[in-house]
Amino acid sequence: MTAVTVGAYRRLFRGETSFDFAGRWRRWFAISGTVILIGLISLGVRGLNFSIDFKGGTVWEVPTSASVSTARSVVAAAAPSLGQATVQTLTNTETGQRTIEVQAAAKTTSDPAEVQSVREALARMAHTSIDNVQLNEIGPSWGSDITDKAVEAVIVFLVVVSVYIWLRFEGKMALAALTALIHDILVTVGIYSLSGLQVSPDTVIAFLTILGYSLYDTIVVFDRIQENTRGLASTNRLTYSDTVNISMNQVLARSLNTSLVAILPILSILVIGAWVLGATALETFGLALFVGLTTGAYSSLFIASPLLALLKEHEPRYSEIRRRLEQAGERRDARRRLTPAAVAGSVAERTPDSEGSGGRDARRKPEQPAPAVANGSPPVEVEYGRAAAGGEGDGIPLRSEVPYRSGNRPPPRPRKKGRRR
Amino acid sequence: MRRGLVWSLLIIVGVAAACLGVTIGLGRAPLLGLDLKGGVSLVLKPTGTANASQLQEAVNIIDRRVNGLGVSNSDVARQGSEVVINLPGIKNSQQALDELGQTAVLYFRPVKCEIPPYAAPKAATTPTTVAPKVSGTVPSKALGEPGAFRLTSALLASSTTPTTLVPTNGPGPTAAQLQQACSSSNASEIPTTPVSQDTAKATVILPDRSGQVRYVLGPADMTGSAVSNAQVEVDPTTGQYTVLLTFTGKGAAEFDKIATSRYACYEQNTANPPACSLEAFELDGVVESAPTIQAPSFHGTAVISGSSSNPFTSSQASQLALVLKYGSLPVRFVPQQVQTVSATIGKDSLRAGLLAGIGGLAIVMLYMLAYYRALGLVVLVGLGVGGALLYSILTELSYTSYHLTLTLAGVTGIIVSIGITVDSYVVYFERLKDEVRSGRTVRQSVERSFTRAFRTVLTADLVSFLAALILYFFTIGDVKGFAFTLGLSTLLDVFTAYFFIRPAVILVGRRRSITDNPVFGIARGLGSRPGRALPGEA
Repeated sequence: MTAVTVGAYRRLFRGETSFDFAGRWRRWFAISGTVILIGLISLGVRGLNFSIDFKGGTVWEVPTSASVSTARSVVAAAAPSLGQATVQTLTNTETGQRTIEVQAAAKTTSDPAEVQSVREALARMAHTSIDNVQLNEIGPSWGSDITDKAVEAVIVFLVVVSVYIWLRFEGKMALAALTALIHDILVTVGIYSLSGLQVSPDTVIAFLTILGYSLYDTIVVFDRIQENTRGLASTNRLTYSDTVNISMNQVLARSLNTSLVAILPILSILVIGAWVLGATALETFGLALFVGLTTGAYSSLFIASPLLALLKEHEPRYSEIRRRLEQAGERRDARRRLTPAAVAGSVAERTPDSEGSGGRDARRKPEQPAPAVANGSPPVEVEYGRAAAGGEGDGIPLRSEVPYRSGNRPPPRPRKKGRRR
Repeated sequence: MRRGLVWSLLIIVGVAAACLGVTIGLGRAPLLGLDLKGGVSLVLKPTGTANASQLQEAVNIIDRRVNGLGVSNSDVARQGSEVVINLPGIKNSQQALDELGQTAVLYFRPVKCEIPPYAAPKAATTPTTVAPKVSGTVPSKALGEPGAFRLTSALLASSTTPTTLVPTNGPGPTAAQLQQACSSSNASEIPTTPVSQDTAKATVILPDRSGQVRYVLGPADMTGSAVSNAQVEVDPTTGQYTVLLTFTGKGAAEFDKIATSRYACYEQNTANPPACSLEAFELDGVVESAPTIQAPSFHGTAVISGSSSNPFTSSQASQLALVLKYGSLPVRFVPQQVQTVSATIGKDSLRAGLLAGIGGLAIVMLYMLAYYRALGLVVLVGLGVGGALLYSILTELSYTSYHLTLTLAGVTGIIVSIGITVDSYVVYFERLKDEVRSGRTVRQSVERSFTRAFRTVLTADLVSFLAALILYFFTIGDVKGFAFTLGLSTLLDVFTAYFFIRPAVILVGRRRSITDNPVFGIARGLGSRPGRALPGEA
């Protein structure tokens, strides 16, 4: 591990990160835009490689006692494009006759010469005449009605979820969350088209998993933003983008940990299972899950939140705050101090210590919104209490005068002598 | 308060252990899907010729029949001019073949008269009646009802082979016999029409399901494609089981036309309605029901009820609904052959995937322990509890009529759901970290952090659950099965968050020996002691 990553990891662990998520939206949007554009071009040119379940295809059957893996390599040698063909054995329950069955999707078997060469190769493998290799076309088992219904359901789902986010949060958050979701869909579809991997029913299901996960992730992030905005509503000392940045840095450790936990097993299956040990069947949707989970985590941090900040900054209330703060030249100072640890530190000073000196504090500051604190109020919300109580009303609502370096915690707080430790 | 927490913890761990113990003790394991374990392949061949669209329609209907819930992982496809059905984990393939060979056309036929069974004269009619659905709400489909009749492995293996009432071939009644069947004094000597002669345009003599009465039926008025849905309901006034029949737009008009003429017959003698007021629903040579038509028009919905003296049982009503809903195929099929199919994924691939998955999980656990210290242990135990519950529930569902089958996609879905489950812990722990960072002790923070974190978890899980619910009710096939598993694991997540994570963390957080341990302490895992070595530096 390099020193830089150790440093970044330590800062993350201690909540001392202050990445500017909202401010650099142009960079994030450009990255995503490029990826999506490449994917869309590929989709237009190459399309998707649908498996036999969607479009049907060709099936070869040959009576033989050869093993499945032998048949697989014979087919792959005869027609390299059929590498993703399904090979299985059929055993007649009455006669005990064993048959090898090879199925391949319509798109890959459109060349009659290739179909014929597979037929010849299978006949050679089974040491039988070519007439004994039965050739048949097979219809789709995943009918178009299943696809239609799934699309219908996804549309209904998007509408219901938008309404839910709108009610639970607000309209602009719904818009941002949906944009992130569409971003994830486009990125995943684009990568599937680029890689040429087969789209099977399993892939579609993996895809649906991603939709749910992406929204889930975005909502966890928005929950924190909403909580912090509520507290800031009356302080007027932070722009919306700064609030978003604080929130993002607060949930950063959670986002990274959760994504790691979800992605590691999938990555392990993909890398060890599919590529090292050669289990090709795992590739098709292992990749869908990996891409989907990664882009899902990325989009909630780098697409949904900056977009939300952009949308909200245009509201008169927040553009007013920004204008005022920029005039006072305070924003640059604020940016440096907006780490979760600093916010928490500033809260520590203001918040009554419920165990040690709660009673005393309550007496000293009767205006303190005690119920809010008891409910586990968000850190910044306490600033509201302070403002209401008429504390030092100037500057940034953060205690620290110097940015913290690692290991440099705020100085001991004199009035916490009674605190049990 | 504290006692409540201990109890909650003890109960959930106890329940999880008991579930797992019982499941393993009974030697049960989830059914494995076609891709993991293989199964049985049945080939059905249409009698006569059938075009591609008829075959595709048949495929859709059979698919819905064998995999209505989407969790049984059956696979139906057209292959050449035949239909191939793959069923996972089937035990008695011959029975499956017999059962699926029963697929046939549902006909609506006029009743000319009732006659006694062939060579066994004993008449006992069981009149049933049809009344128009009184306007008002159509209750939603009872969840799980149709599931009881899914044609999959376990059901097929255990169900009795239906009626041998109708000969598949052989001499049928002659034209002369059919002519005078209704007036003949020894009608029981007239043979029943064999299946091979049971065509839409023919006049036929067919028995009802009990075999105690036969009907002389005219040419078919319409086929089962006129029915869009059929479901079991309980009449709120009488408490009896009824079947609510919904027609398609075109079917409704056709049925009203039939109903008008039957009702005219019914009006002649309402106390003892003549045979011409009956309409028979015939499937595969058996009259499933022959209700009296008691209204001239039905506007698209009809309720079939048993007679007051002989009401439907729950299973009779379900059977009738199933037949009406799924019983109609555009062509008739003859079973061709049964073969066992191997798994589509090789054993070595499967083992590789499994090993890789377990390895990935182990890395995740190590990471959790390194990052959160003692709290990582809570995650470990919590995943064990959640896993035991999920495994038991999945296994149990494999043994019910749902025939839930675990496929590779399902296994992967579970791995992803581990991510979402662990997220509940991570959200909570990070919240705890915020609180501890702001100067509180672990002890003070555990409960208030939970309140906030649980709110977040609930909000996010609600979206997942909404997704599952909508997908479940709007889709068919495999997608439905996915939605089912997603919904289940989401519910389990909320459940373990409240009943396991909360008490476990609160209890652990109260012990100073655990929170302040220099190596393993929670406080350290939460980064509340600056200046010391952190995991990254070690």
